[in-house]
Amino acid sequence: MVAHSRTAVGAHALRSLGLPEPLAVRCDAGGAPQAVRRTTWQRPRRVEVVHDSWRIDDEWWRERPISRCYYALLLETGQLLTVYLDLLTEQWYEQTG
Amino acid sequence: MRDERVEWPQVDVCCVWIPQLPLRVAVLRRPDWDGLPLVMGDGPNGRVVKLASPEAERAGITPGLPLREVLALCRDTVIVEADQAQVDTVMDGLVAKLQRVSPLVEQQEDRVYLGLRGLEDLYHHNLRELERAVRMVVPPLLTPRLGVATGKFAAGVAAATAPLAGMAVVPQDATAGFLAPLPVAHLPLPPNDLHRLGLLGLRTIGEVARLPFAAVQAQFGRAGARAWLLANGQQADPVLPQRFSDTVRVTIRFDDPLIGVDAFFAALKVAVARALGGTADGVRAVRRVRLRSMLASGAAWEQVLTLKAALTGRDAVYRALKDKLQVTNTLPPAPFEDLTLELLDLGKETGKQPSLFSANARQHRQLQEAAQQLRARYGYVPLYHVIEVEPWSRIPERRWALMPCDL
Repeated sequence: MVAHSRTAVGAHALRSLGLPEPLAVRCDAGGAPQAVRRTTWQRPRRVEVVHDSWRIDDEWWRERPISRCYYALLLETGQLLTVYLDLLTEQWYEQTG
Repeated sequence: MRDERVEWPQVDVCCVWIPQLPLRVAVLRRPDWDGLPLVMGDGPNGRVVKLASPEAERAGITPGLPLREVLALCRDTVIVEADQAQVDTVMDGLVAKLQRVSPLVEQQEDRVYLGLRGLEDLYHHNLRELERAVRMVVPPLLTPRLGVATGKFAAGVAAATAPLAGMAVVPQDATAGFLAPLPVAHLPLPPNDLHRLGLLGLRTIGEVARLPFAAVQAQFGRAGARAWLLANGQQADPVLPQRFSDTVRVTIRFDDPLIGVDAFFAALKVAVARALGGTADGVRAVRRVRLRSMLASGAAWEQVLTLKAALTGRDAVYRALKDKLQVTNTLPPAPFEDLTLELLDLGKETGKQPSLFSANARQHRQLQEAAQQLRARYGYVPLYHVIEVEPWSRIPERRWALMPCDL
């Protein structure tokens, strides 16, 4: 009998879409983002406007709860960016999706 | 043209006759040939004269004369190549224009019949206005002759007896008297019957008309009976208007004759785009296409292509035409000066609903082929499905995921 040559499909094969990417952010005294820099950018880009901000606290019953403070930003280049501060690790991330 | 009024008697048909149509069409293309002795052979490799213009006949050239003797009789004679495609093009255009003179138009070879019933008021009961309208749309180089009478037969005979730039009018009550002195050759009878009439000593239509109906019918059957009724002006012979379907025609003319397959298909692509873009109510389904080109050699090239299915969309029509022309290898045999594309048999549908399942199956096959190529190149298949995981989640990265394609 010929063996089934195809890879078995299961949850392990799933790749999440829109995984957050680490980002460098400079903040003002109030903690709002002033400038951001992706790892691929040569210099930081100034934040022109903070369009919105909100907080998500979720999965507090799990071992690794989620606590994030999101910001929707307009950069000096006209680019829109959504970033968040992981309140548990104090790390900034860019969120897509 | 004379401006005097011609009263509109009891008539219902106008015949526009173009004598020696193939020769006149050639003159239309080469106006400098007008007035020269012209002859046309009997086919592409004809050996005898089939048609001779009046100028050629005055030089002694008559139909049936061997072509090799033509130049000996008249050195200025122009031998015209028969070109039926060109004749058809001219007549199609003529019929289309005559439809503006009368809505009832019937074409029979070199004659076009116009139904006049109900048009008296339009032309103010003046036949001269009708004649003017006809001559405005028929090129003078075609030397049309006009006959107006009751029924197509009488109108046709009237046109045949009309002067070159004039019009013969035969009122209904004068039909039998008009036809009586004319030769029997005008009657629509087969050559054998006409020969028999001659053997019987019947030379004129009037002599046939005076015979008893039953005797003519007994001798010549149904055709004879019809000829007797026509000769007596008793046969109802109305115009049977042709049905003209909606067509779209686009012509592209080139400054210099184009040569080559690529040039032809480029021109075809432009013509298809223009034709399908110009339909009144958007792109409609096309079933048949006529292509015509005037070749640099003076001949015409024509192809009528019937598509397997009615197609919509420029790309689909262009691809189908290209495939058909390439497969049959029927491209113009010489450099071409223009390209006319005519969309025939236009359907009502403006779009086509493809089969949902067959399209899916086709798409799946294409993906499988792509997956094989990628596996061969990268060792794995970098193709994924996007699936919903938790679309309601507030955490963006939890909502969607990529799953490898199982191809």
